[in-house]
Amino acid sequence: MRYIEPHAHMVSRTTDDYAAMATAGCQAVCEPAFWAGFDRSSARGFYDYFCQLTEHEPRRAARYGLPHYTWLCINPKESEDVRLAEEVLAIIPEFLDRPNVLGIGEIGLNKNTRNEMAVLEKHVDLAAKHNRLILVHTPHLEDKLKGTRLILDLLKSDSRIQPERVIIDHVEEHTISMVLDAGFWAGITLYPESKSTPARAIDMVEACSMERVWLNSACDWGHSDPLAVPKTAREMRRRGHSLEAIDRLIFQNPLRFLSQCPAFAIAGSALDSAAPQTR
Amino acid sequence: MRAVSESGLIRRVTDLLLQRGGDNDVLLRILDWILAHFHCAVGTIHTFDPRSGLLVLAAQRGVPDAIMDKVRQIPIGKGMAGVAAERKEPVQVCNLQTDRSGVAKPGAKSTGMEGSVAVPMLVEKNVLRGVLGVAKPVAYEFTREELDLLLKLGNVIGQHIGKPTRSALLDLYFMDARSKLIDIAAFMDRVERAEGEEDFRMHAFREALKQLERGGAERAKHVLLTFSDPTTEPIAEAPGKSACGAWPGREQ
Repeated sequence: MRYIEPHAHMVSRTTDDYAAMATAGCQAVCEPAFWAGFDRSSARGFYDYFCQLTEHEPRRAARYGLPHYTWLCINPKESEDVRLAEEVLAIIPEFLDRPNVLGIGEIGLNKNTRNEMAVLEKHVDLAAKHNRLILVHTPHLEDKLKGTRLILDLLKSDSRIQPERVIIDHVEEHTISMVLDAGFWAGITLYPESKSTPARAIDMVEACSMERVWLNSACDWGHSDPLAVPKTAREMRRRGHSLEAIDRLIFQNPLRFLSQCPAFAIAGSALDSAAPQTR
Repeated sequence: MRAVSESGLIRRVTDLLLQRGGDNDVLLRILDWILAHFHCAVGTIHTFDPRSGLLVLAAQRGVPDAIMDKVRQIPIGKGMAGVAAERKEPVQVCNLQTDRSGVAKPGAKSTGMEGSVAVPMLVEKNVLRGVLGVAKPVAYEFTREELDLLLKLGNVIGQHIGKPTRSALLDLYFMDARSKLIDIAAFMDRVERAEGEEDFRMHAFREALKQLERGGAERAKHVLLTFSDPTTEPIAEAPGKSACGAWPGREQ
């Protein structure tokens, strides 16, 4: 089995996790910028974080044979401070051409405030101006429905945004259809408690579509599992899905989306290449 | 010419289905193996679509173009395949060209075949997944052993096409769901035994529980909607960073 982990906050994980992911068949790991669990006091803190994402973390991943890619932004949890957000937005362009940068993310909303919306709009503008892929975080729990609607409205109102170049992450049963129907990609996040379990993720794929969907663990410093994607693949096998279908969902789909960024390349991973022949 | 034994054929079919699932190109390859094994020239695999109640052609070999439209979709009870699906047992005709039983449709003669059989693809004994049909250019009566092998092959194929049955899903998930349900019951007992007042979260929880009695296979969606903020305008200021799982606004 091979898979791509398209959303993992590896700066919060140990090297044991890298080893386990590589052993489980991970071919590449992609790390969106996110909230550290505390508010950074200045844009300088983000500068250091972006250096970590573009210099240090790729080297750490490479020790385990894993290509490491990243997305840059100031996350929605810190977007309430618009002035700080503007300062951070100003330094992002100097990192965009670094070799492991995929685009702008994970941007989005947290509590669905006006300031968060303003900062989201600025991020979308930055991505459009630099023709970058976008990774969108949708809010947690009770705020997800409203936040997803607001995000979709904002993205659809910008004629420069091509839906097939945007992935809207953390969808659940009440938001997946509106995302796919609008032409965007949908990410299903596998969390032990919040977001989706493996069984629910497969339910959604079976009920909606496998066409523009990826699975991710979004593992970070909280209660999360860096092996959630391969564990969900195992669950798909229990439910009778073929190896080819599993390969399409956990490897070819993220490869198809991420390959829209010229920086993304995995050795020997041409689209539609043969799935592993082992059982 | 039987290149592989009966058990070898079943194993080969099972392995391919496990490897690649029940896509139409896989079914065609399997059909080729079955035709070779039984020395047949014409074969069809129809899958059953429970929504329309029709058998839908998924793979075929040797069906003349002239009758293709007639075999693409077959109602249950019509023709050999339809009757086999209805009776859930094999239906065979020793010679299609001379048969007067009425079970074969007139178009079946156009295949030029004589000895033919249709077997239902059944899982868990009675759940219909489709029909497998094969025919020879000579008059022939399939033996009990041959029919049993075709039924076994139909069962193997049937397990890999269509969604898992309710029984299969219960096998997979019942114990887990049962455990979670008891956890919920214990949680509600725990809250009830404690002192003080319930807040909006428990009220939302009780509302969400009502969604479990809904039909339409969208309970998860409606439970999530029950907990969700239904408003549409951004708020002025964040009350904090975290979410609590239920929208407090319903009671404000």
